[in-house]
Amino acid sequence: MREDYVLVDLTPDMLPMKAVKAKNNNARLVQICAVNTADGYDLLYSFAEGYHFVNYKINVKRNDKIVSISDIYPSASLYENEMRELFGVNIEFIKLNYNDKLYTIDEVTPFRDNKKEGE
Amino acid sequence: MANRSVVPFGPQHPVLPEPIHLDLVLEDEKVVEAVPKIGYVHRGLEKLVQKRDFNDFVYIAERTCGICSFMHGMGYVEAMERIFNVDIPGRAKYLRTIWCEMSRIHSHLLWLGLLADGFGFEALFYQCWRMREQVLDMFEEATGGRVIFSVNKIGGVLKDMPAEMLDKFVKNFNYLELQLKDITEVFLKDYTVESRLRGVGILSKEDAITLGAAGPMMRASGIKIDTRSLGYAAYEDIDFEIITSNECDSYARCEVRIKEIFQSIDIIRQAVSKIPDGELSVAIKGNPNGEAFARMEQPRGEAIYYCRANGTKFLERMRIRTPTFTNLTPMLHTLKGAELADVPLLILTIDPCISCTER
Repeated sequence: MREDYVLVDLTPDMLPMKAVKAKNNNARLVQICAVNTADGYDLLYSFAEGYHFVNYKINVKRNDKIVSISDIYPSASLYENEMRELFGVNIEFIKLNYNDKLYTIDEVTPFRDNKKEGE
Repeated sequence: MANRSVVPFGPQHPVLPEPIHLDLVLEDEKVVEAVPKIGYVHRGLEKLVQKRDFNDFVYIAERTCGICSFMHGMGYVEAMERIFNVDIPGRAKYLRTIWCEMSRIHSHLLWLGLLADGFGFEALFYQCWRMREQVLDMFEEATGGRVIFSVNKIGGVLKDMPAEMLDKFVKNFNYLELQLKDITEVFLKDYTVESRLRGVGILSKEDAITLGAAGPMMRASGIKIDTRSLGYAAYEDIDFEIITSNECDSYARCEVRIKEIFQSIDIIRQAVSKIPDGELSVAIKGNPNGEAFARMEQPRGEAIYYCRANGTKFLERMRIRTPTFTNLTPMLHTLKGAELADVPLLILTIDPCISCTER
């Protein structure tokens, strides 16, 4: 048996509202991650209400600014720092901001796929 | 007014087998703030997926960690099987279930040993790790490996366990269960042990949800969620009750893990009695295209695997959200207000796996 899950496309401005709604429904923030696309990133936000697994996909351009949801879910801070440091996603107002010092690595944004931009 | 100071904890510390650093802000002996720093051994395994054939990546995924290596490989192949939309043979599902539970037993025994070592009970530490060796011996007999097993493939498993071996393993686990009962008495009823664990590191049910706790850390706060209930592998055919505790402290986390070992032994017995004959795998054709999530219950909690493929043999993305990564925030919460002397044990009670976190 395989579990069913939901994958929904969102615009960036809808994210805080969805996060507040998830919190009000007692949902857990399960994970956040970034995926390189041709001109930016897909950001995947996963919430679980009990076993019900809901994922939001937000497509952003390389330099678009995203508002942190760490005020709503404190655990988002680590994920958001990770996305910013490894991929270069421009996330603002992270509650616990490491300023690209979460990981002890030399390379700047090592997971960012520059080839797609011709950099 | 209390004296305020900052004490660096780690990255090298006797209770930490792997490196993580915390800046502990203290008022006298009480922790008022803890700021973590990770990344001392970050390996960038997720990035490697863009340079390795999707079939070969199974071997990299299981090298994420040396304790839950089997389950990391399995999480990756489950996500890929979802992209290929294949259903693996029943025997492969049962074999995966048995290996998952064996992994849980040896991981929890390892943790119990570290906990005993953490509060200075060395004889108990030796007993736990001696028992864990028995599980590793069985892994070696079944797969040829004690740490990395390489038995998963997309579409099934690579190795079988004959009926005689399974029967022998059940007998071994019956014997292990007897030994486990002895150490359970010590962990759950010894005055000295209780005095270090009871009422320490409280994580309320509400905080466990808000802060994203996972696995035994979450269940010890009274939340009845265990991803095995989703029915992946052969779990849909297995009867088991989710183990929880409402005490929300370090003792509850210890209690949940010990009871889960007994439960894992029972699950192995059930799986051996129900395992069907048949093929070990199905053939996979072509290259993957699409994206999928897979979730599973590792010893430390729920792990999330996400794969995105583009029709070539190289994936665009493979993401592992490990339970330790999500348990860091609840751990920081339990440290606030704790005595400095309790910090090592509180860190241990999330069963930290930095190798997973630094995937």
